[in-house]
Amino acid sequence: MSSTDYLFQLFQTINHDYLYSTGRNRIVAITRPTYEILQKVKQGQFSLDDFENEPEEIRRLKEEGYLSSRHIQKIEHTYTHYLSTLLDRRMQKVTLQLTQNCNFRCSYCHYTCNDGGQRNHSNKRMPLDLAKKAILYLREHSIDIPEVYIGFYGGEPLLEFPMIEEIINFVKTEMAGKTIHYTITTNSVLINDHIIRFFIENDVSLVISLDGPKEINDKHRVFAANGKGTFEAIIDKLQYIYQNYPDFFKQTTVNMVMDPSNDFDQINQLFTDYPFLKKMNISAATIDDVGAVEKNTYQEQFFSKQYYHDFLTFLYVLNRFPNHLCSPIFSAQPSAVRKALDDMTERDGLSDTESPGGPCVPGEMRLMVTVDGDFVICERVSEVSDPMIIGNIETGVQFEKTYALLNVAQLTSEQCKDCWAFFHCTLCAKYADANGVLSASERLKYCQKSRLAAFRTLRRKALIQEAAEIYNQSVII
Amino acid sequence: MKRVALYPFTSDSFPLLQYLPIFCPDYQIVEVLSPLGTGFSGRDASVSVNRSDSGMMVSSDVQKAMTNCDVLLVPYGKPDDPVFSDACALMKRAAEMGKDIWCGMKLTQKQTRELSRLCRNHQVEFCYGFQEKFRWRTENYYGNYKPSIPVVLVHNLTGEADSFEVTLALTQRFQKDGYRVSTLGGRPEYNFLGLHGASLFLETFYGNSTLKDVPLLLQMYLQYFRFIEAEERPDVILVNFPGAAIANGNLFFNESGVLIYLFTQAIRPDYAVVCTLYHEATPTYLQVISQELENRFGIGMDSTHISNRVLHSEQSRQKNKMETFYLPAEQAFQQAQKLKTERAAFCAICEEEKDELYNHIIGSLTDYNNL
Ligand code: SF4
Repeated sequence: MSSTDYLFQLFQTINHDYLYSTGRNRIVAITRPTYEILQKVKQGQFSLDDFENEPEEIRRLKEEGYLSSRHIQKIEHTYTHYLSTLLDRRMQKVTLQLTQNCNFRCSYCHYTCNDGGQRNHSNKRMPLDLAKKAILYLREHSIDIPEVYIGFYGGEPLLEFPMIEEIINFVKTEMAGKTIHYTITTNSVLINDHIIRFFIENDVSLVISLDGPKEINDKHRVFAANGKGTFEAIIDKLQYIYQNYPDFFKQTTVNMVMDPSNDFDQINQLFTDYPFLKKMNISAATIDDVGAVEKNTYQEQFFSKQYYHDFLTFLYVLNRFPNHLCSPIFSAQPSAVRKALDDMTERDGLSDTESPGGPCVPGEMRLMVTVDGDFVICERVSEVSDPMIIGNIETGVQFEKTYALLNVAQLTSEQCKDCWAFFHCTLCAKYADANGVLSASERLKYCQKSRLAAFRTLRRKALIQEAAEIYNQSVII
Repeated sequence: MKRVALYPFTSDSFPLLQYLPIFCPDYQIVEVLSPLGTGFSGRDASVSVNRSDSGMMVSSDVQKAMTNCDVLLVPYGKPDDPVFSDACALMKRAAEMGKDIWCGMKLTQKQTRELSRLCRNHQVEFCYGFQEKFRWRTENYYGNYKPSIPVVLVHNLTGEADSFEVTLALTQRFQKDGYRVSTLGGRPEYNFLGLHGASLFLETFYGNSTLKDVPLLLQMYLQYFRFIEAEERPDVILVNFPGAAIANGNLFFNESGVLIYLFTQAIRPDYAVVCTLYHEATPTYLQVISQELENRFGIGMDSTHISNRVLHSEQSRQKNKMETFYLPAEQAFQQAQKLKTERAAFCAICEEEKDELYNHIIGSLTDYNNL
């Protein structure tokens, strides 16, 4: 038997040694001798079936299913058998790519050729008829849910504001009786009072991109017309909204794309220079270089500083650090921790058929309709990659393609079956996309990152438990 | 024959399309209306529950429907649900047009007064589902009472799984065989069908007062049953509890059987039909659940109805509320067939299975010499 016959992970905190059992999807505190034995098992130096006198704790862990040699036989997503019904009746969101044009040229944007020239900014815009058809498609395919989401996307969607008005007015009649949540992702510079009032009236959530202070934002984000930096224009708009529409401002989100070649503290400086931004929702992530030609480079201390601030926010979650001293960049962390912990539902053991975490149901969750009417699984993947295009407005969703995306883990079946982080995996089909082909080796490139995230979740779970059990400390989630 | 327009139609009101003409033979549903956003308009009403065609088409043409009906029926719904947002205004318009109003939607006191005055002024009927027509006397009965006739409980396991429809189906079957049935339930529409949208249940489910005093509530359950038995002299009482009997993991909160527990402290049912969401359950799983229910309520699962409604656990977890969808009804039927070899499992939304479920109940009750 090899070490992978028992799926588990080990970790330590200052108070305890822990075993995470994949089959039970649960962490349990163990004694040091057991930890040491299991460490040897993990390193392949010892087998759990080789004991002459099995230690009591190991026997108990086996008995309770924490250590089990039961293996997954087949990888198949739980919703595979429901897929056609879900696609037919539970479509939750449509994102409309209103235009491929933009008044910015951000260097990391795929349209600015960061995908090897597969996509370019163009003057292509979505015909209004096509937008209406997409709305009706959403209506016909969401009969089992009372609320749906409509996103406006681009290029820069505000270049098509009159079309947005027409679409929303169309939705009011054609989708009467349904709760609609609108979101728009914009660079903000075209925003004016008329637009803001229209958004307030129709409950449109605004997501504005801003990457950091002037010298950082302007390194990547320049105007298309003259190549000049865009920071001043964006911050002026944000300030205007803050002063004139404070309630709307609080509901607006700033989307920060962080370039890790910069100093993290310098990015964070934005909130010291412009403290009013702290009143907004902040959503931050490093530049998404999956599928990009130019990969991220990392400033030496970027990660350590980022982790430090992340840690401070976690101390806030543990009720040990004041919120106002935390970096707003991590303001979403408490809810992310909560979600990760909620997802950690206890299990009775492994079944013969399982599927790792990662993919959502393609077409159900966040379908993007391109200017040409193609259905792309979401706005975050390459819209020119064949496996990601799962149909079009005329013929609907192609079942076989969604099946392949939902079951993308079948590509790496053997590795996944032996992976301790199976249920915490975050890799959806996007991470298997090697220039238009779903590839196992591409997917496996991201495993380490996914396992690291899983490892952090386990530690956090343990620390939160310890906060309550050992320090009698309530937590803020 | 009075012509009924139903607005707004949703999957929850599908049973009314089937059973209103049966329980109210002088009424015919001629218009099934739904706002455009539900996606039902222009399609057969059965699409709402993913079954084969019912022959009733859904329309969104409220204007036309209003000229073509005598009664406007608004089914049970929450006024803050966007699908019901136009319902109050439509009822007022309909009353002014001389239509009878049957309202199953919870109204504020002000709205109730206003609508009732409007209906009086236009000399049309105003039937409010939250007010039981059948007024029970409130004189005190003390001491213990055990119904002398069988009580059949129909409830849901973890979430709404057709219990309203199953109760109506059973009521019809009992009546067809000549039994006198008193049916009580938590849906206000029971009051439109000549059954009991029991004010006591409605108060417990949607009101705010009764639960505060548990001993009083138990006493009232007893009185209510005693009164029904004395008044209607039924051969059998069917009781339909909406909501859920047990929690669904840690996904979201539901009633977790609190209401059923209270009820079963007052009245011991003789038979329980438990309606479950579609689940690829094994007979062993059902056995375990039955035992769990018995431990909690003193009555387990005599039979199971398998719904074609499925819990979407991923979405429920994300949204912290129950999210479901409807599989093609055939799949629920197949699942019931699989379980049938070892458990009394039925898919009572299918005609033949209704009969089988009914026969199982009759068999069990006569075994105990109850019927
Ligand atoms: S981290 Fe890699 S091996 Fe593990 S489940 Fe995810 S894809 Fe499979």
